[in-house]
Amino acid sequence: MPAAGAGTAITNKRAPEFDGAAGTMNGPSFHGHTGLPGLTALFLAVATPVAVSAQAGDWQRTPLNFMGVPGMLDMPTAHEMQDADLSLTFAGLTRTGRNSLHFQITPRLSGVFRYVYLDDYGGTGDYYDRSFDLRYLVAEEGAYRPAITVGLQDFGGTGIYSGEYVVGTKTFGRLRATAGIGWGRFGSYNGFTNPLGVFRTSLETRPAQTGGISQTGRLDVKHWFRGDAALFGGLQYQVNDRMIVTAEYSSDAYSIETRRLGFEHRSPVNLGLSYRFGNGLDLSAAYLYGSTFGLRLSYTFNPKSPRRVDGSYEGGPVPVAVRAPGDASDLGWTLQPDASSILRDNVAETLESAGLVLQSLTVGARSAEIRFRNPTFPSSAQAVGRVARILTALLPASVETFEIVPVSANGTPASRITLRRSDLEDLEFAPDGSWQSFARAEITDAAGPVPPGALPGPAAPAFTWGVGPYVETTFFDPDAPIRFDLGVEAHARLEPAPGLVFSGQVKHRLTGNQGDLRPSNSILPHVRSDLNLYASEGQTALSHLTAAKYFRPGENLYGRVTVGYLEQMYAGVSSELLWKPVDSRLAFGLEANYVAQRDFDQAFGLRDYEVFTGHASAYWDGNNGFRYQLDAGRYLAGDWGATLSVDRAFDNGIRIGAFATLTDVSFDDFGEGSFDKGIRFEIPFSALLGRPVKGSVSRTIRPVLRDGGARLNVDGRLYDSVRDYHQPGLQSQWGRFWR
Amino acid sequence: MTVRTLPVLALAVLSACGLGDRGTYFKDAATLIRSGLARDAGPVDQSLTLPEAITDAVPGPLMVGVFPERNAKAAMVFLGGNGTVTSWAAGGGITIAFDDGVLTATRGLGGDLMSADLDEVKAGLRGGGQAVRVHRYLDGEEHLQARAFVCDYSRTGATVVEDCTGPELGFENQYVLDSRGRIRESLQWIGPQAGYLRSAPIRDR
Repeated sequence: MPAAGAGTAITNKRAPEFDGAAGTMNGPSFHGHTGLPGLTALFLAVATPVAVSAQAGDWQRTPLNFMGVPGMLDMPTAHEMQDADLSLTFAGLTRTGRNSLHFQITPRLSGVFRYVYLDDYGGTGDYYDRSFDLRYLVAEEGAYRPAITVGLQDFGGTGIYSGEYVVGTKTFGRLRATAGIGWGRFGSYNGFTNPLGVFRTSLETRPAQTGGISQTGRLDVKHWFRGDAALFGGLQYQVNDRMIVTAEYSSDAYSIETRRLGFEHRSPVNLGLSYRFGNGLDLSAAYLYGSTFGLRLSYTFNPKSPRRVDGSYEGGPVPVAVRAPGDASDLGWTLQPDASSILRDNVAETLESAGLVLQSLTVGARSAEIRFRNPTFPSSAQAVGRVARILTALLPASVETFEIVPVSANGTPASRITLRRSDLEDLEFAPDGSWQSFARAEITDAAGPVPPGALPGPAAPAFTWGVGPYVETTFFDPDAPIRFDLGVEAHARLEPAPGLVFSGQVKHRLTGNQGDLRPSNSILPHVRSDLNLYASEGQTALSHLTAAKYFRPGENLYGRVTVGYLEQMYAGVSSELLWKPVDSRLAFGLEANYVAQRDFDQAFGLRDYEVFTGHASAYWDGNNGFRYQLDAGRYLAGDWGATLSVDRAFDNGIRIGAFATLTDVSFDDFGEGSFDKGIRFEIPFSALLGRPVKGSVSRTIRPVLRDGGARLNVDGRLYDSVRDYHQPGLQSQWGRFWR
Repeated sequence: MTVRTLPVLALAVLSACGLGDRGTYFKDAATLIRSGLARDAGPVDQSLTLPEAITDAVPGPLMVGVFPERNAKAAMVFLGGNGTVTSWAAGGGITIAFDDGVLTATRGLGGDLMSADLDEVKAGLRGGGQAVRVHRYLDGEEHLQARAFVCDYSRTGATVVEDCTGPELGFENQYVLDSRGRIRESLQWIGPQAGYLRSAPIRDR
């Protein structure tokens, strides 16, 4: 074996750096086609789409109506939007403003959340109405058969818009014809006895809406498809790619608006014109019911293609450094006593310039284990790919096996990805290199201690802090649809050893009106509904101050214990155990918390309410992009029940979902809304910008927040911190391994 | 970036969660704002030459690349080789890889060519005839999507024209070969969103 000679010695070197090394004379400008030379212009002409342009009668995007669903003007049609389309619609007509969010949940199923403003409703002041719809495409359009859709409008709200319909639409080139039958609101003009009455005469009468606000939020099952029915229909004609003219016959009598808003219903015929802009915006104007003009503006966004240009703009990786034949047998470097520490320093520094942080490095003669954290790349596979290439550039040629262990943000090893260096060399430019490298990668559990001989990197101890602005919003207060507090926050985090985290945050409100929320009238313990008191008394508030330990109790197991001031309203102890095999789409969790309610001023004091709360959870990561979570247990008010959450998760990080909780609190005791439910979304900035920028916009929107079915908000829940680094998550993102 | 960026900036400002820790907070904000601003410089000189100041400053193999659709020109510095593939850095973190002179991958441009199957193309460039070429691109969900093209080759003097047609898109590449049949100058299509790259060697070693 040769001694450590000049040719084999480990020295300080870095992977090649090229940012700025090349003199770019004019940084690539992503805008402004400034005078293309003739030759290029000619080639560009060749590259223009051949068959993509819309042809006559090609209905690329279904028009939306004034209720924010696919339709004509006020009446629905049967076609659905494109899969995953998210459409926001603002529509205004006499003393009515309708805001609707329509999401095409699957190619056939869609849902709507609607928030309507009615001006001076029946002399009782302004009125805000929240409603949910569901639509299902029963049959797609065929050569002879129309598309057929069944819809439930406002199936569980206060009932102003409550109605059901079955509608069919057929396309004839540029013309679309629609006919349907409706019940409830859709059966209110020119109605006739319910034909479903032949099955059961009780279907001929629709029970009156009872009870007002306390009845809201229940499923109005006993109203559906009952009472008088009526027919509606209409024609849409596509003048060109952008313009559609519409004439419809509406079966909606607008009885409530006539009674309460002075609406005049003079004619069932509505006429309108809509124009589509190229950027997702869609505008229409209509003359409605012979008495009023209406305007509608919609914006449609598809989370599957959030950017105009796909891929991303961050710099490329360092190339794989290919070993010369025979080099791999040279073990001379192993005799050099400081080889490991020099390698560790080289790797740490190169990783840092790539936006990654070394936690530890263990180098043996034939294999190396690296543990690292990824504060930069939204794609876990991309981070793993970058680490692998950096190792090819820095580790001695004899090291053939790379064991890459991504460590979650809270310091627990999430998985072990074993790659062969010669595979990296072979597949870097292979046409199907992405799939082949995934097939050859071995993904296993990473529990257990750091191997002997590991040298720590700069990941821990780590101290970070920051100061910034914050906004807190509350939606749908009866007196003001959006309330917000605005202020500054400061936070700090110390991790003295991997997995041991001290963290705190202080907020100071500069201005806002959350404190003016109506005082709670809940008859349950006020576990969430005293938000107005927390907001008004906590101008300077300790948001949280915690000590947490994250650990791996064994193979497939993840653990967390958090103590301290856990969140705005609770302090105590929270503990969690997660079982998640690395290649499994199924996971189970247990969470147990003992907490006391905090004083309204959110200093260190506690109120006289203590509760044991906790859940057993099951997580299922469907391979169709849907994620399901079921939590069953005891909630903050001491109520027992379960929460079902369903999210559609896109591999670019965008998530849209809904949840509902039923507990042993009766609908009457719960109060307005009857049970806890809501929709939520998360949109990472990186998905919109195509750059690895941290941060995201996420919101949970509840029609009303009350005390039943309320859960603790504790930081660092385990499932999301490990799933991206497990096999299903890595597989869905592996296209970025070579990015 | 135009319409789509405006809501992003608004969201960034309104975001309740802090963007990140000190340091990255302002960096992220700066990135957000920069990416929201159009950078319009005057038309760049698109000749395949580099000023001496640059050729003198950078050691080793050097190429010049022009991105006509982006009105940009860059010196491309040799990064490394893997078999028949050479990688080049074009500044700003952008990297370009050629397989025997045929474009096989780009990174950092947006709409990058992630990989290409060029086996038949290399034969076509040598001997004419027809070839199938497969490109892979990331889509909006970060999944790889393959696009296949059928290409015809015609040679006039030292210039080979590669005329490719796909189900939705077509393009035309041009290669100028040297006396030993190696590609010197070329105009090659990267993809539907990144456009073309015109490149030529400045210095071989």
